[in-house]
Amino acid sequence: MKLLQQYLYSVRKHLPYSSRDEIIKELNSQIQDEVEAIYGPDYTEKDLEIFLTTFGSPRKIANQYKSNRYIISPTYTDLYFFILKIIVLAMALSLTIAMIVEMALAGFTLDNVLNGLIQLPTRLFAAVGQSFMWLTIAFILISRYRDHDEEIALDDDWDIKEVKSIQLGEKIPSKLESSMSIFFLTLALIIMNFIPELITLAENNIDFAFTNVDGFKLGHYINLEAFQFVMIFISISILLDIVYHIILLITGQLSKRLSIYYTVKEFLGALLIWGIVFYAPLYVDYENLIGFRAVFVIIAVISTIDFFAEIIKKIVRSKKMI
Amino acid sequence: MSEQDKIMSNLMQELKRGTLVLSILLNTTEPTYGYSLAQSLQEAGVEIEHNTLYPLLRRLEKQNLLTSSWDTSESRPRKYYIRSEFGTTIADSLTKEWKKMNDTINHML
Repeated sequence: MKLLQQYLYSVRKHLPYSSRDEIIKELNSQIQDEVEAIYGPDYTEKDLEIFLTTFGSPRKIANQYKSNRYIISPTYTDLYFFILKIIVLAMALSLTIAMIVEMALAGFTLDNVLNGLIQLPTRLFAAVGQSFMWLTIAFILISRYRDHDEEIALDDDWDIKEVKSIQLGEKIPSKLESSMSIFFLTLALIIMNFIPELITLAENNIDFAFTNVDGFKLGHYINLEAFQFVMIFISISILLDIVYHIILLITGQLSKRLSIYYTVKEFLGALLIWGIVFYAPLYVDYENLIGFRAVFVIIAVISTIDFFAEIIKKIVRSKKMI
Repeated sequence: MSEQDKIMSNLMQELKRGTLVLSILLNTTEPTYGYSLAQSLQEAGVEIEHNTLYPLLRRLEKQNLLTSSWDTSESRPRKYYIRSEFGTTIADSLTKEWKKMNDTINHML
């Protein structure tokens, strides 16, 4: 029954992250057992509505599965540590890659190797410290605002209409998908910020492969100074993506608001890539028509197709709902 | 509700709360799911709100006093709880304490 699913969804949002699925499964059986005991196996939605009204507000039910109040709500503590672990792991990996690449660029001398090994823990400590701080602040704010916005619903005279108005969202990507996305986005964010030289390295290798054949040069190489400026926008775009996946993990549902956020993010992402394609100061050595810039053109075309596919999907879905 | 009723109701609640864990441990010697446990407790005269029982069962499971398993053979999956070995030890100790307390109070009456 839709009402039961809406009610369980509402309870779920306030439950401790790690045990949500199991509590909801048990609560689902419990409610059905109780409603059947009162109204018989063929109970109506109205019977369920009367039952749920006296059963208690979703928030009140969920609160019975929590212990005390903390700085970060118990609803999010497991998720907080889970995301922190993913980010720390991604940082450790990306900074190690950055160190190896830097050593390769500067030459594997004893001095360079020692220098890199000494710098690694310091860099890691600073990066993890920053992430820890921002993630903690974000979760404290989430705990504060999300725990207060429905305080009225804790009262015994709560209204079932609050639950009935919930729009059950689309099916969401799996937890694994979101976790992997957070991991690889963090990895990309750090590598691109710490070792932009990787681009030059890639350019040189591609060029080398071509020149070996017929002396051909790709051209349109990236100007690393201009790239530092572009990197600010790329970093913001990646961060918006990470935020999207964190919200998905927190809410466990692709709500309408989050879906709009996703579409806007996709639009801005596509716009940014096209901006990169046409940002003239970003490229040097215009030897060919398109050269190395082709990489960004391909990404831009894919992002644009992706964006319009998303829009068409949304239109089709909304027509189906009507 | 008069002031006396309110105080009495609160004190009764506290008294009952103290006996809940022991009541659950004594009624989970066989695998049982939440709803049927609530029924058997009510039949035995132990009033417990279902909303209180389920979180309490989870807490007792976390404390290793109960173990659980899901039965998915029927259309509605159900979680069955049973007293663990550790739960039996605790139940025995609590029963002894309960008897001692009961004697003490009886002597005072």
